[in-house]
Amino acid sequence: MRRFTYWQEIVGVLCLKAVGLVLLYLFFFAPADRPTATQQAVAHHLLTTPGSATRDEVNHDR
Amino acid sequence: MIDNAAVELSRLQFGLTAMYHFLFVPLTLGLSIVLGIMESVYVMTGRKIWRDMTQYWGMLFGINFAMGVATGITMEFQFGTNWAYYSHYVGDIFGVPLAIEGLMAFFLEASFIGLFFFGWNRMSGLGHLAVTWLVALGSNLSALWILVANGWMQNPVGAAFNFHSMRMELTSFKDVLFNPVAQAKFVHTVSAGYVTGAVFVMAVSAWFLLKGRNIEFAKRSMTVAASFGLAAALSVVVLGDESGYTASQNQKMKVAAIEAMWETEPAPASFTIFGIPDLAARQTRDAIRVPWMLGLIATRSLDQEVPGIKPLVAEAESRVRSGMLAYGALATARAHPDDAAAKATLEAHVKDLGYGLLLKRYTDNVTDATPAQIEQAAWDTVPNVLPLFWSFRFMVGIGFFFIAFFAGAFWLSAKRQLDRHRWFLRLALLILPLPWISSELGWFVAENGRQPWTIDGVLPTFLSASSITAGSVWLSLAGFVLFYSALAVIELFLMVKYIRLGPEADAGASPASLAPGRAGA
Repeated sequence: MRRFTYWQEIVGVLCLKAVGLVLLYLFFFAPADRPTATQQAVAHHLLTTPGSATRDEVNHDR
Repeated sequence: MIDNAAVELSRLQFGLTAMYHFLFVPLTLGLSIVLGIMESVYVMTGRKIWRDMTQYWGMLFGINFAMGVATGITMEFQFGTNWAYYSHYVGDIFGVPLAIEGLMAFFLEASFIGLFFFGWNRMSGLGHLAVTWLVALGSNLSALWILVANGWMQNPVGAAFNFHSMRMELTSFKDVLFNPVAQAKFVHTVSAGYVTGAVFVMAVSAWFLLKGRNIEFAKRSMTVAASFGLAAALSVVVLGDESGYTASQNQKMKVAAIEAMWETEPAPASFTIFGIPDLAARQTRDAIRVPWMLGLIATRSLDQEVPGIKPLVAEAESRVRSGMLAYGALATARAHPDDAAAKATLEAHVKDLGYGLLLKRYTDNVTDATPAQIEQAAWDTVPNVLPLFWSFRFMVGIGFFFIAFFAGAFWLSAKRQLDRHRWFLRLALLILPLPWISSELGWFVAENGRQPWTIDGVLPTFLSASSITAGSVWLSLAGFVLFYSALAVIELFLMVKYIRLGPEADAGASPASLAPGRAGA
């Protein structure tokens, strides 16, 4: 029985990792959480104010 | 306003992710070559023990690869979410080597790893050997493209700023690929990986010998690791010297900060072995210096000066002033794209635009910055001297220790006395964490020495981060820490379990064992 243990564990780890990465992506890095920096947003960020555009401002530029 | 907490947390998150990912990379790099060497001996001699060695170390390689693979992908997540301005500003260049790495090297590596594990009884001996070396080639090519991307952040060649698109655009792929900083970093980094692989094999084999099990297996493994490790340890120091030389040509402030050298010394400059950098007084106390050494390392001459921090800050101040002109011209050219005078001014000063952007931390009106603000911005170009100074020295010290260690191992191996000195075996086991510590210190020096820039001289870090809240970065950071900590525990558990089981465990682990016979040599 032991002969398959190694591969079972490797596959198990890969599955766990895939699930964990998908969850991280969905919770924190999905498109809804991601500001899209257009050239207008970058120009605004670098040239207009000392601070940055808010996410709303950035997304507005899309 | 810029949320500095969000910027610093984004840096922390990226740094932790990169450092975690790099726990696996050096062992993959090093073990892949060790596997190639062992299987080459197997194919040449036909002796089964070399095949067993390849399969056992291959099994541990597989655990490390499975644990490490895709842990770096979260850095790509972060580029989009935490570093959106960076991604827009330099994505055209930075994305190219990353994409090539994903498409070419990763698939090459991953495909041949599959063949390595499942091809033992399905391929000829020479065919399988070719696969094993292709695994090593794929791993090294992955490292090459990543370091091309990183080298460009350190020395942004082959690119130009386009004020219409507000981004850096590629002008010469050849310059990016053959960037001397990238090439030097590549060979230095993969050599460090080879040392890691050699130390790992030495340590595990030493453990077997201390336990009195798998004696022949362990002695042969140590013999390979001793000679490979000696070559790698010598390479890593020589190539590290090359990396330092390229840094001294392209990142003078980084070198000055690593050396805590506040003033320019008459050539050839001395090297500070020990000292206590005093950031407030801007001097290094209780310094013990070796005459000439830094001048020889950094300039490879006796008559060239190595500039100190204070003169470099004065130089940065003039670049900040030039950057103010570029900044004003950029604003005008954006508003009036046909303004020839603004475009001419921008073109004349665009190389200093990044220095002008440093003022954004202090003023709304960059073009009207006060002398005090300009001085502050110029001093911002100095990285954090104290941790750089000591991290570099620990890294170099470990590097020289490895030369001595592997020279001793090589000598014992030549005398066939590797298993005779228990103190040496204990030492080999004890030093197991050192290559990882030195690698992480190396990355710390490289990346903290680049501050305050994400792209050296082009884009300040605080302007690269997205406009997200510190709270959201805290949340994602907590998610990372939880998930990656769990993975680390599983990695350690699996690695220790299969090390303890020893080569006989491979009889149940390797797909090669699922069918009788051996690949023809």
